[in-house]
Amino acid sequence: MLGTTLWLPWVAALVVPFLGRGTLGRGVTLATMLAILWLVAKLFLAFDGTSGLAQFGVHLPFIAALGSTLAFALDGYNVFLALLTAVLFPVVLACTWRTDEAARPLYLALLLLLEAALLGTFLAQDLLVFFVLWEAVLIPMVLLILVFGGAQRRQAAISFFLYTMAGSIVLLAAVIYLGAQASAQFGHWSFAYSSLEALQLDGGQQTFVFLAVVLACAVKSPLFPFHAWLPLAYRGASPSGTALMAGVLSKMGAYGFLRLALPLAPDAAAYFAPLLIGWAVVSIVYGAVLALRQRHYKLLVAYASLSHMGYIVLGAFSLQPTGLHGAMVQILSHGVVVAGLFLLLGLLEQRRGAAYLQLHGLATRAPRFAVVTMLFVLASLALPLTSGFAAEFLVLLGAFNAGLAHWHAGAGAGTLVAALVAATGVVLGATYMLRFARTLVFDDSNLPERLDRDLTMRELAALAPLLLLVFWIGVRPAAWMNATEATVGQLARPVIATMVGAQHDE
Amino acid sequence: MSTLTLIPLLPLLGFLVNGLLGRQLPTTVVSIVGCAFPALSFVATCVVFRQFLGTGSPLEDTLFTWAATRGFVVDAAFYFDAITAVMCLVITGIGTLIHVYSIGYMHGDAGYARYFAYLNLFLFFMLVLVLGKNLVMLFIGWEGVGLASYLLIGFWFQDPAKTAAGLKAFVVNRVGDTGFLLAAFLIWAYAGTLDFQQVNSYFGMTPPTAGVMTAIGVLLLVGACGKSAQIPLHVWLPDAMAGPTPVSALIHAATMVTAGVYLLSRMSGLFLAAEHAMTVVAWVGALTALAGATMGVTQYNLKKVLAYSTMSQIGLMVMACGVGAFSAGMFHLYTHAFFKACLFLAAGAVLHALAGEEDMRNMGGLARRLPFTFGVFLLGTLALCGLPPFAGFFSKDEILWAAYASERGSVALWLIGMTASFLTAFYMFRAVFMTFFGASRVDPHVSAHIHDAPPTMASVLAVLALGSIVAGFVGLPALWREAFGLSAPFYDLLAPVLGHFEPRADAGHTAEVALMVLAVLVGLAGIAVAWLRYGRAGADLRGGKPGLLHETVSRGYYFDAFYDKVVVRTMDWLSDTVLARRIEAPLTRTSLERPADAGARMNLWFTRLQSGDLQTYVIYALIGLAIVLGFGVAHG
Repeated sequence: MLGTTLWLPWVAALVVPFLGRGTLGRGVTLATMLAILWLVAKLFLAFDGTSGLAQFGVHLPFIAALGSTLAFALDGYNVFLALLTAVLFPVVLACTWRTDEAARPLYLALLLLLEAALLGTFLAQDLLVFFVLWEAVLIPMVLLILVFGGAQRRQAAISFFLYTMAGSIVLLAAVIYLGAQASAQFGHWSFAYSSLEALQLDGGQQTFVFLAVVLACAVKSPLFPFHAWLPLAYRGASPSGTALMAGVLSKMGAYGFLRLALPLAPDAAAYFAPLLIGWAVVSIVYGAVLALRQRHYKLLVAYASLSHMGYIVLGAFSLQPTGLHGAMVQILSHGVVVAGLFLLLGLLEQRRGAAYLQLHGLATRAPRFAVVTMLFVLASLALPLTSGFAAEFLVLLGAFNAGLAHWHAGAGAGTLVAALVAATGVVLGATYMLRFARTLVFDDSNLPERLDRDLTMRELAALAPLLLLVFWIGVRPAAWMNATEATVGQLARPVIATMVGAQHDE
Repeated sequence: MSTLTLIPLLPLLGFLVNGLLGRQLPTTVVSIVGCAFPALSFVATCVVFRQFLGTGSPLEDTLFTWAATRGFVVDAAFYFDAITAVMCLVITGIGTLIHVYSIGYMHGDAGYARYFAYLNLFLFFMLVLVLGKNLVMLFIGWEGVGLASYLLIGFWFQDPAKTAAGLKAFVVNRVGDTGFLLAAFLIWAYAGTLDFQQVNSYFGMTPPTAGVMTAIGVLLLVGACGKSAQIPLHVWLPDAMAGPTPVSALIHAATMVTAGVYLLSRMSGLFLAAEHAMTVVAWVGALTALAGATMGVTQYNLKKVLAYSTMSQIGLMVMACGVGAFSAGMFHLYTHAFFKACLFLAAGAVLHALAGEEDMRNMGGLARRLPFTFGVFLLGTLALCGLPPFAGFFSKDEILWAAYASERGSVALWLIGMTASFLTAFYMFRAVFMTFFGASRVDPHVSAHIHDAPPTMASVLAVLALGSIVAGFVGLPALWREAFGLSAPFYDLLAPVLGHFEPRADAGHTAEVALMVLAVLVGLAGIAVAWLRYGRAGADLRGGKPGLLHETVSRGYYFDAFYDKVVVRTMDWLSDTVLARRIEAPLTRTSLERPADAGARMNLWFTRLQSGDLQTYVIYALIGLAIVLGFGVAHG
C-alpha cells in the first residue's frame, strides 16, 4: 500500500501530459491525488504509534556499492507529514480547478511530480535517497513558480532555487560524511537511518553533522536571517504554489530538524539546544513584528508563516515531551492553516485579479468567504479549540519547562527569558491577524469594490477538509499525540527530569 | 451524556443552528431558538444544582483526554461544585433574561440571527470557563469569551471605530491571557497537574518558595486583570460600549468581567498560600475600585458611567478576594449581576426611546416620559449604591467589613472602599438626575417619538428590578443572623469550598455596627451631594472649564494615551522603520536582489551564478563541498 502511494504520482505525472487540455487531465490528476489521500489515510489509521518504529516498509535496491537502498516506511517522524502532503494536494487542485493554469497538462504534471518527490522525501528511510528527493523537490517547484507565477516570478524562482540550493550543499557534505563514517565503523557503506543512528560520533563530528543539517533546514523552514528568499518567493508564486511552499515545502526544514538533527547528532543537539531556542524565538518575534504593519495580504501571511515556523523549532529544541509534541502538531496545524489562508487569497485573486489587494469588507459582500476566512484567522492566532492552540500551548509549555530546568540546573536564565519572549508572540499574533481580518473581512470604507461571487460549493468542499483538521486537532489533540508518542519519547531528553524532584534536592 | 455536559452544550447548539441556518430562518424561529437554548441550559443547571444539593458532593463528567504525554495529562472534563453552581445560575439565568430582552431591542436589525448566534456562543464559552475542571478547560472558555466579546463589540462591523474597539478588547485580553498561560506553566512545573482540586491542595500543603508563589499569584492576577478590566488592563472596557447595549449587560453582569473574580476564587487554595500575591490582589482591586469610581464621575455618556461603575465594583470584588473574603467577593458578583444587568438594560431602554442618544447632556426630564424605565433604573441605582435593604447593600457591606476586619485587611483598604462607595452614590445619582430629572434637553424631533419599553423588554426589566431588591437576603451579615436567628444560605452553600474570612480579634460587633451605619451614611451623603450639584432646579450641568485634575481623570488617567502613543506606536515603528527598512530591506538586497552592491566577493559569486553559467556554478558548488568535507574530516 505504501509502495502504491509512492509510484502512483510518478506514473500519473507521465500519463497526464498526454491527456490534453480538457477536463480529463484534471480529473485523472485529482483522482490520483484522492487515491493517494485514501491510501495514506488508511495507513495513518493503521499506524501503530505505541512503537513508533518504521512500518509498512518498502525496500528496493538502489546503489548497492554505497549500501543505499530505496527504503521507505511510515514512522513516528513522518506520519503527520505524509498525511499533510496527501491532504493538501487535492485541496490545492480543487481550489484552482477552474483557473487557466489547471487546464494545462504541464501544471498538473508538475503538481504530481512535486507530490511524488515530497512523499518520497518524507517517507525515505535512507539518507541518500532522502537527499536526492529533497533536491528533486526543487525542480517542479521552481518550474511552477517560473511558468505560473506572478509579476516577479523569474526573480522569485531563481532566488528560491539558489538560496535553498546553497543550504543543501552543506547538507550533502554531511550526508557523504555520515556514509563514510558508517563505512569506517561498520566496514561497509550505509545510509539507512537505523544504522546511522547507531554510529558512535564524538563531539566534533556531531557538531559538524548538526550544523550542516541546521543550516540546510534553517534556509528551508526558514529561520531569520535565512528567510530572505521567502517574501519574494511567496509573493511571486501563484496562489497554489505559495500554498504548497508554505504548507508543505517549509515543513521539509522542520522535518529535517526532527528527523536528522536530533537523532543523528543527539549530544550536539542537546548542547546547542539553548542556542537554537534563542534563534527560534528571534525568528518568531521578527516575523510577528514585521507582520504587524504589512498591508500586502500575501506578505502579511508570509511573515506570519515565518513566525509560526519558529514555534516548530522552539518546540523541537525544548527537548521536552510537551514541546516536541507541540512541534509535531504545529507541523500539521501550520501546514493546514497557512495553506488555507493562501488558498483563500488565491480565490480572491481569481475573482478580482491583482485588485484583490485593495479588497475590504468581505463580511458584507461575501458572507461565506468571511466566515471561512475568520475560521482560518482564528486558527492562525491559536484560539483554543483550533489546532493552532494545541500546538502553541504545547510548544510554549515545553519551552518554558526547558527554560526553568536550565535555570534550576544553574545554566543561566537565558532559555527561560527566551521562552517568556516567545510568549509575547501570542499577543503579537492576535494583533496582526486581527488587523488583517479587520481590513479584509470587516471594514467597509471602500464601497465601490465589488465581489461577484461568494465561495462556491466546490470551493467550500475543497476547503472543508482543512477546517475539519483544524478543529479535530484542536478539540482532541490527544488522538494525534498518540501517533507520535513513542517517537517523541525517544527524542525527549531529561534536561532535569522533574522540577518536583529538583526541588527536594535543594 | 450527563445533564452536566448539557449545560454548556445547549447554547453551543443554539449557536450552530442560528449561525449556520439563521439567515434562512424566519425571525420568530431565530428568536425562539436563540432564547430557548439558554433557557434550557438554565433548566439543566437547576437540575444539576438539585442533584448537587441532594448529595452534597461535587459532580464530574470526564468526556475524553484532551492531551496526554509522559508526565502531562489534561482531560476534557467538567466539574460542578458550589462556586460553579453560583456562576452557572447567574450566567444562564441572567443570560437568558438578556436574550429575551434582545428580541425587542434588536428587532429589525439586519444581523439579527448573527446576533443571537454570537450571544449563544458567548454563553457557551462562559459556561465552559466556569465548568472546566482544569486550567486548560478554563482557558478554552477564557479565550472563547474573548472571541465572543470581540465579535459582539464589533457587531456593527461596517463602522471602523467599532471593529477597532473589538480588536482592542481582544488584544488587551490576550495580554492578560499570556499571564494566565505562564501561570499555568509554572503551576504545572511544580504541581505536575493542572486539575484545580489537585493544584489547590498541592500548593496548600507543600507550597514552594515564596518567590514562586508570588510569581504564580501575580501572573494569575494579570490574567484576571485582562478579563475583569482591572488596572492596568482595564482600557478595553469603556470602548466595549461600541456593541449593542444588551451585549454590555451580558459582558458586565453575567459573563466575561466576572471571570477574573471566578478565577481568583477557584484558585483560592493557592492564593491563601501566597501572602505577597494576596496583598497585590487586594491593592489592585482597591485602586481599580477607586480609579473606576473617579472616572465615572467625569463621564457624560450614560453607558460609560455604567461601564466605569462595573470596573469599580469588580475592583471591590477583587479586593475582597485579596483580603481572603472570597465568598464575599462571590456574593457581590451575584448581587451585582442583577442590578448591573437591570441598569444596563434600563439604559438600553432609554437609548431605544431616544433613537440611540447616549449623551446625558441631551437627556433630562425623562422620569415623566419613561416612568417605568425610570422606576427600574432607580431601583438598580439604589442597589448599586449599597443602600439597605437593596441587594447591593448586603454584599458591599460584607466586602467593606472584610477589608477592615480581615487579618489581611487594613484601614487604608477600607477607606478606599468607602471613598469608592461615596463616589459611586454620587455619580450614579448624578446620572439619575441628569437623565430623568430637570428640564428636557432632548432634541425635539426625537422627543416626539419617546415611548416606554415594549413588553419583552419591560418584563425582563421587572424581573431584574425585583432581583435588585431581594437578591441580597440570601446572604445576611453575621451580625443580623445572630440578632434575628436567621441563616445565610449563600454563605452556607459556599462554605465547604470557600471558607469565610475570620475577623481579627479586636474587630467586634460594635465596630461592625458602626462601620455599617457609616457606610449607609456615606452613601446618603453621595446622593445628597449629587442632588446639590445636579438635582436642584437650575443646576449647571455642563460644568465650568475642566481643570487639570478633571482632564486627567476624564481621560482615564492617560492609560489609553500611553498604550496608543507609546506601546502601539513603538511596535509599529519597530515594524516599519527598524525591521522593515533597516534589516529586511538590506538583507534582501545583499543576498538576493542586487548582489553587485554587496562587496567584491559576493559580486563574483552571484554574477556568475545569475549569469546562468551552469559550469561555474557546479565548480563553485564542488569547491564549497570540498572545503566543507575537508573541515568535517579534519574534525572527525
